[in-house]
Amino acid sequence: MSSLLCKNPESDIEARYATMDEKVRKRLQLNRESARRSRLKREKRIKDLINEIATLKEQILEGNKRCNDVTHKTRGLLSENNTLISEKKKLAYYLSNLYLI
Amino acid sequence: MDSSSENSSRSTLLQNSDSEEDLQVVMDMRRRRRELSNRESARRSRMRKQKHVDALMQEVSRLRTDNNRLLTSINISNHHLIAVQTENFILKALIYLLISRGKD
Repeated sequence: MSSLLCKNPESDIEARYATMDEKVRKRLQLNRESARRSRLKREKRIKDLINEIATLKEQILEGNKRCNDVTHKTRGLLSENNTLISEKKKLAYYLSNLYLI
Repeated sequence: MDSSSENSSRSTLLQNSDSEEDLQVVMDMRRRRRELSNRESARRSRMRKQKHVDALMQEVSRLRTDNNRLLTSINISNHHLIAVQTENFILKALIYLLISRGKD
């Protein structure tokens, strides 16, 4: 067994492994695998959040474009409607005058 | 043993023992200090990581709300557009009628 003033931590760990029970070794291995699964799950969660943020930002950009488009079209049609209304009034007046003759 | 004689026997022990054992005590203390420092560093690291995740979740929540508001707004604007388009179509139809009546 290494001396108390051992400066090499690796031979410490190897020594611990050598004296380990098969059961203990198995349990440690299962713990390692479980820890790895937890890490991977956590990393996936973070990646999913980052992806969702990117998607939402794209959707918002797209939505703003559509909103501007609809507003723009509406404005154009409203002014066209004003023109049409005055033209209709003019024609109706003209027609009513015709009927009076 | 009362405390004062305990203390004096302890200090005599340190003075009289091997220099190797003294070194061992010092190294033990240093190891313990390092381990404590590492534990605290690990804890700060975990907290920082958790804050990062919390910030991401807040961002997602904010963006979802914004997106939903935007979709509602687009929906309303669309309905308005359809109403104006309908009015537009009707006016054009009326004008056509009036013109064709005028031609009789």
